[in-house]
Amino acid sequence: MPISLLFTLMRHEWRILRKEIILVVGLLGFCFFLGGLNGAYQLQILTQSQAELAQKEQQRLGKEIAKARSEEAQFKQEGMPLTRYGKSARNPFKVAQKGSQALLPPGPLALLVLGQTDLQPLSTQISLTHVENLPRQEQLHHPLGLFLGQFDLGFVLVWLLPLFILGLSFDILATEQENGSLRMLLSMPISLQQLALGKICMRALVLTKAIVIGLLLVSLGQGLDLRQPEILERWLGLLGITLLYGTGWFALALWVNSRKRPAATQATILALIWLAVLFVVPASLNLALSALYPLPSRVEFTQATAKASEKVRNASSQLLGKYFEDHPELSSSKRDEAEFNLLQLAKEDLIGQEITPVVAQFRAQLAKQRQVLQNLQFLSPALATQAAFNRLAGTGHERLEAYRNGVEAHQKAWRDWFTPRIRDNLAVQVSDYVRLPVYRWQEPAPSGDKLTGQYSLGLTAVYLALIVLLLGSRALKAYQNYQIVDS
Amino acid sequence: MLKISALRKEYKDKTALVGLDLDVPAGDIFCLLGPNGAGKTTTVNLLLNFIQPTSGSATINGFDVTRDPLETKKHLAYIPELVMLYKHLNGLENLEYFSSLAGHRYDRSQLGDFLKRAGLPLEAHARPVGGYSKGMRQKVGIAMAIAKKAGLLILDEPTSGLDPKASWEFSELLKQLAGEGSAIFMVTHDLFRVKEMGARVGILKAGELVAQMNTEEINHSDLEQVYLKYMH
Amino acid sequence: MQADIIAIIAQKEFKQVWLDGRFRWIFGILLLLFGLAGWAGFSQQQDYRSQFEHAMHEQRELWVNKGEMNPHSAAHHGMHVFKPASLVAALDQGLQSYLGVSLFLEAHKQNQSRYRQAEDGTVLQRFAVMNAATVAEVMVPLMIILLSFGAFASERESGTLRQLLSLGLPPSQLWLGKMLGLSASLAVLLLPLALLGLGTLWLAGGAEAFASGAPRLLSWLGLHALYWLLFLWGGLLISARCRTARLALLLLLAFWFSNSFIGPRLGMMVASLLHKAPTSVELQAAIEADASQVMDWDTRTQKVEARLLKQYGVKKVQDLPVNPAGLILADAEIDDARVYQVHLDHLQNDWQNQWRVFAKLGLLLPGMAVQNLSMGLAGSDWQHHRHFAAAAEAYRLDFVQRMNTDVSRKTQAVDAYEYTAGKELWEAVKPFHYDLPALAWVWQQQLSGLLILAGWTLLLALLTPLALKRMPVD
Repeated sequence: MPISLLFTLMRHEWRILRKEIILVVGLLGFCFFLGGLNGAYQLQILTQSQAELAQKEQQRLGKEIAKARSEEAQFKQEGMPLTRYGKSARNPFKVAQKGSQALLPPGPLALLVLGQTDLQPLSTQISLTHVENLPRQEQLHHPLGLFLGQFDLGFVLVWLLPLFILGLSFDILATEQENGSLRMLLSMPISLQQLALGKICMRALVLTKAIVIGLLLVSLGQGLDLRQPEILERWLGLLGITLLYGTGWFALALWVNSRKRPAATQATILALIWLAVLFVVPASLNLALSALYPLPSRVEFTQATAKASEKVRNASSQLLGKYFEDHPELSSSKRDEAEFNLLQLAKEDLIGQEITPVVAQFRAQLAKQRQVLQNLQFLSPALATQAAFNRLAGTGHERLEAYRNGVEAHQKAWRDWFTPRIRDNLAVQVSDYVRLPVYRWQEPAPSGDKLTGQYSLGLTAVYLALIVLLLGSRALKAYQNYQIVDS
Repeated sequence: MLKISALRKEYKDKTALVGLDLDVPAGDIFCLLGPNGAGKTTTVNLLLNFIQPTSGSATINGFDVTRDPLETKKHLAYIPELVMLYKHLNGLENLEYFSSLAGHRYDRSQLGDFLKRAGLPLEAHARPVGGYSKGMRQKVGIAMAIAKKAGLLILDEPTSGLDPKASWEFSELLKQLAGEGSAIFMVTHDLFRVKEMGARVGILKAGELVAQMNTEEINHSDLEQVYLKYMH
Repeated sequence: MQADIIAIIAQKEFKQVWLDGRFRWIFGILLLLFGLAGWAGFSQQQDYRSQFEHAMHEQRELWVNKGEMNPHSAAHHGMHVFKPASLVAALDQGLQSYLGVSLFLEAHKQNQSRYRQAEDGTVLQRFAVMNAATVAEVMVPLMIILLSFGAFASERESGTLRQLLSLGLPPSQLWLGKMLGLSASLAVLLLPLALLGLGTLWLAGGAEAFASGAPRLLSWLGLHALYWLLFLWGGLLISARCRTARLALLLLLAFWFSNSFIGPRLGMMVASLLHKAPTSVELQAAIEADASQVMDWDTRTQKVEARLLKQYGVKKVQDLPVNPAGLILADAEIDDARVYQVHLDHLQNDWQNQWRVFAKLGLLLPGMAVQNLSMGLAGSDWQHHRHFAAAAEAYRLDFVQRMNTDVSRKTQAVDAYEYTAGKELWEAVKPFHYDLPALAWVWQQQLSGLLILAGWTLLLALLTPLALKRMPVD
């Protein structure tokens, strides 16, 4: 198809559809604005909350160290060894239980796609307690808001963009066919495929421009640093998936238009397909997954934890004897001072042991459900797109998973550091504070890794591209059989 | 310019065109008459490749309409009963679009010339086509043919619904175009106009060309007799 | 009005729907979805109910059989309570998975509910939920649009409208006939749903659950029937006024998209921007700040002891017939509870204000009002959760104070913190029992939604004669 012809068709289409397109682009732009506004607002609350939490933790730590310092000064004066501790500070068990803060930072592109961000904790205070029972600082949102989901750019792109696309292209030929202007056009040396393609390309081009500009404006306007290669990579990935997803909807419109039905019928068909892709398929999948792979009950989980702590409490006297048996290296002279700490440590250990199988079962079932979803997300392109968005933005359930693993690893380091000191009843010294394990967040790679068994984002891209190709080629073929006149 | 040989179109339940042979050389005006359902519109649709013949062929300027539709469409201009234009655009813009689809680039004054030659009053050129009368739209259709330098004009009932003056102007325009060397193939009911243009006439009945004559050689009442004979 | 003519039109419309194979399919699919979603919701609620019974029982066992313990320690030890589920929530699980299943009740603190199912969720959960409510509020309205957009507009395009009106048929009768005929089609969808719902409630819940659930269930069905009628009504008016079926369809679809998908999310965003609620960090800081202002222990001891001395008319603390330690704890507990209550009330009032904004937007998009009402009737909205949390807090305060005052019953010879109580005291604390509030309470909470629906009915009633009077014929 000659470029000049395509250009002529597109230019003309723009001329006659200018008003509608400006309206649609305006609406889309407004949605971008709202989505960006909300994303920035939510992100600001989150970062501010976490900054306050971090500051509070710093202050707490500062006070703790100051106390330790003054105690050490006193001990030095009195000629006591620094490995002993007093009532106010440096008790290894207490320091361990005061814990270490593990913040879960918002995803790199949370501004654009909030995903599960609003359900994730702000921070966890790591101590010797079992991971599942650690105190977490949760966010507060109206539950209705949580249920409905955020109006973010991800929502605009996955839910609304297809509406705008379909609204612009449900009738590229039908009305012209009905009123006869299609006959006029086709008495010119152009084919129907060229005509349909020209019309679709113009719409696609305008919307592509609008999306790129809109995304850029929101991202730069809200201070997303696209100069960082890591951020830019994710951002481009998001743009690429968006364009593929949008092209898929255009290809669908092209195909439905090739069936030559009245414009109203075509609109109905497209609306039903939209409903199926965005609502019926994901909702049915949700229903099926919760029926076939139900999430283990949190009620039972709560029960198991409660029972475990009760059991441990009842057994605490025997427990301590057992612990001393297990650890003959503890000399009896240290017993008095160490007893309480050791008992507590043993309790935490035992509760951990009790609930570990319940947690393991819970997590195994969760993992199974997610694995099934991994495969079935491709039943709906919208679902696959949203999942890809969440991963690119770093706001999916994968983030919570990574966070939990990180917290677990950090807790292990924390435990390993404190356990011998509690056992040997050694004080935490001021000089130790710099050696305490520090929690560091590791951003999971958006492309996923083999360890988690996640599909690469590339697969989503290939899948969306296949949809475009399949629908597009079917559509172009169908135009060969398009009956220009009714026989 | 237009050669039709043994053109046949069958639908599932009926034969629309039995086997049409026709030749319309450059400068000639040929009018196809016939009752409703005789196959006139089928013929036009076949020439425009909107439907495909069961057998037989038609060529325009030597190009086969089925095998080489895009090439043939460079040489023809189609003017239906109601010339459908983009009503929010003006005459010039419509003309510009359609001629650029045919691969011609004209500037505004050239486009204005074409419209003027087709008889569209100057004050209408820059007005949205939505306000045009049927006759004015036909003139834009003619201007398209001129702009496209079409060797063949295919007209489908172009004068039905036009008032007598507009109709007369239209005939004059066609005659002028034929005089300049265009072949004109017109499907019509309008006997009077046909006679006035001095065209050749073919009468189609049930898909068959049952009579051909030259209107210059017979008088008006004879023509009417012939027509009535085949009209039922 | 000629009733027979209206009946003829209604019959024709009704038949036309059923003769259309596409609609038979759509009805079939919708019934299937209702069935599947209802069944899944039901089994989910049943599961939860059995877990709930079990958990409450076990918690009670743990509480009663904890052995000898200091009563105040027992209060610290606390207990978990679980939120009971209503069977009607099978129709609309609403916010259940965002609200958490259990509350931990302990001394000095009012905890928030924990373990929201949604935290374990995936990308799917906020994509779409399939339950009877979403089928009734999202999918049925779309079907109604498909039934109604062409009711007048298609007849106008095909020219039959002109013919019908030329017979001297007033547009109002034509409208009424179509309205009746199409409503009858909708009733075909609603009746099996009603029978299935009532039957399940009776069979699974027994007479008691039926008595409490049936009014909610019937109201739920009535609500959705009204919503469908309003949708149909509006659809027919749009169809009457739009020249082409294409335009009517586009307008109705745009409304449907906004009503079901765009409005709710946008509404909650606007609401949360208009009424900023404290963040969790702010809330915690505020509670901590106030808690630090609470009277210190020595002052409190003096205050309570002075009060007791006055009350019992003795001069020395040693002469008191009660142990003041427990009463000091009880006094402190009141202050602690108040600190929490003040700030949680603050938060909840902010949330209530957010909800009010959201509810008011139902004026523009009635689907939002219906969504609220539906969750309210199913008992799965936030208001119900708040009601439950208030009941749990009342229970908490009661049992904690019972523990505290028990200490005071002992003579002062006993050290208040060494003293231990046993099963007798634990059993004296009645198990936590929570009943869903009555239906009238729901109506009271959701009054705005009811008014909004009434307003929409009135609006459509007022617009109908106007729309029909100036209905374009072709």
